[in-house]
Amino acid sequence: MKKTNFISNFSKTVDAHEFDLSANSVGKIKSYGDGVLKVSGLDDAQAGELIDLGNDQTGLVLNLEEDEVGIVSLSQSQSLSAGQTVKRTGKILSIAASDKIIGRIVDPLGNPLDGKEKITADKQMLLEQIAPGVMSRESVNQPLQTGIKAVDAMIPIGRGQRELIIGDRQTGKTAVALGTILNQHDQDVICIYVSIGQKRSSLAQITEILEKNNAFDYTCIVSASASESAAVQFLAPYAGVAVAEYFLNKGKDVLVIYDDLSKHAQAYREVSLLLRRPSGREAYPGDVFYLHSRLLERACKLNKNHGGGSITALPIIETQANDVSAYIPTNVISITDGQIYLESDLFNAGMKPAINVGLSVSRVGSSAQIKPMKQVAGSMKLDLAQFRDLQAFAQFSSDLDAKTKEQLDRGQRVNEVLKQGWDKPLKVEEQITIIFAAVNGLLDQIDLKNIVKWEELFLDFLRSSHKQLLKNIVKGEKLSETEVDDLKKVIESFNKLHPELTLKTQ
Amino acid sequence: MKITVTTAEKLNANQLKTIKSAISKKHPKLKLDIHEKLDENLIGGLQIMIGSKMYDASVKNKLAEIKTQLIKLN
Repeated sequence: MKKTNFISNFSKTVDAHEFDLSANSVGKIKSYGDGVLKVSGLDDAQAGELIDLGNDQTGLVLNLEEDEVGIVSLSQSQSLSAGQTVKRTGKILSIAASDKIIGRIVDPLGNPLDGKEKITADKQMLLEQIAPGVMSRESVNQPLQTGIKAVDAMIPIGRGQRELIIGDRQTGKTAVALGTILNQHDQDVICIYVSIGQKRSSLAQITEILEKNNAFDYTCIVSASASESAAVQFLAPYAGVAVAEYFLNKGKDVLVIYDDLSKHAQAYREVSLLLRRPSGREAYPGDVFYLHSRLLERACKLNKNHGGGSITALPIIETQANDVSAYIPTNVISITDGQIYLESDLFNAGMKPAINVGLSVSRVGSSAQIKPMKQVAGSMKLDLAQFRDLQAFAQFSSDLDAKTKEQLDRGQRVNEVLKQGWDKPLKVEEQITIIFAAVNGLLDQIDLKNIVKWEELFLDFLRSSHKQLLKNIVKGEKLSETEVDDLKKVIESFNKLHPELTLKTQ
Repeated sequence: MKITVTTAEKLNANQLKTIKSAISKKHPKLKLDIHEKLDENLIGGLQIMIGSKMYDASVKNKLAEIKTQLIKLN
């Protein structure tokens, strides 16, 4: 730009600018420390309002007291000093949402973290919003396919459900959630992954996985990493659900993953203690239940008159030494509609995903399960329950009668079939055929070691030469007797084609 | 309510009178309990604090506003 040009432009801007001479509500910083400001003045500040701290920094009003206001800073705030004046903005915390947010990584305030351009707001979505009311909702009636056999068969999740993923560290909690995201590529579901207090290295890893699998075409990440202030971490899940609500209002189905809410509760505890709010059990403040309940209540399935969209929530909780009776786990278990319980013992025994089927439940999802899946899953639960009973018993005695042995063999195979790589989600019709084979004894002749191989080959076989069969299953009608017979014949003929997979002793 | 008038240079009696009448025009019921304060950082103009409400017509604030305006345009 030429110099004269610059000066004329400059003076034009200055001339055109209208100075704000209206009354501003201001306050004086009394103290600042650990990200918390005590401010006098600001008589008419509202709770949850944004405060202008100067130098493009903002704070959030959390405490209103008689002669001071407690504010948490949402930025680094290195230049704050006592005695400095701060201003009300009259704005309530919100995040800029638009269709372009898909494929992006943003912080809870909507700033891009992926080095790409700023997201222009189609709509400002409030972080704190009341959940949809009773009249606009309907019961869960559509399945959300996770692509994981153990989940889709026995702990089915419906769109609009809140299903907790709980377990110790290193048990594959995030893997279950990520696998679910990968499986949504053809399901018309928008995924939002909220990362709270995670290492930046893990976030980089997750980003890489999603990118490699083209999952960013329908996924957005909201991240407040461990190096972010506790206040920002505390806001992250609300920002995530606010973005989800933007798509919900357009009648879309959304899946939100909160990874994880234990760290979220810890961040909130930090903020609360610094604000000197009274602490209760495990030093968490009294409203830590409300913290999570108001978040998870925003998961919903809306009825046709309200767009018919849904928000499915998969919160993650990390337990310490399998202790689900700690404060935060019990809270979130009671809020959600069921839990997927992961165990390190199972994980170490090679059972991946390490889902404890006995302790995991889904309270509403079964009504959304498609009929053929219900058909095969019923006998599967029974087989596994019997297997677990017998397994404990069989450890004591070596010679078992034929029937017991048969049940044990069956159980082992059904159990084996549940093993699955987290990044290999299966379509529901494929899951059904495999579970069908296992529970109908069609795998009894297959060597236990070869089950994984069998599954792989069988799926290739089905995909290439029995497409119609798969299509019939996915229609969702109950399998008729002829269809059941057909499926049996297909599996039997496949087994004959592959004698190398059967037990050697026969 | 406490009223503080901050300026860069000391006000003369005439200026003070004008300010007082302006305040009582805007807030007729207010008891005028005016405290004067000097702050060279304002450069020029004045700031009036009434309780926790502030009317800021200082040169310092105007410059700050122009700064944000220019950054926005960039």
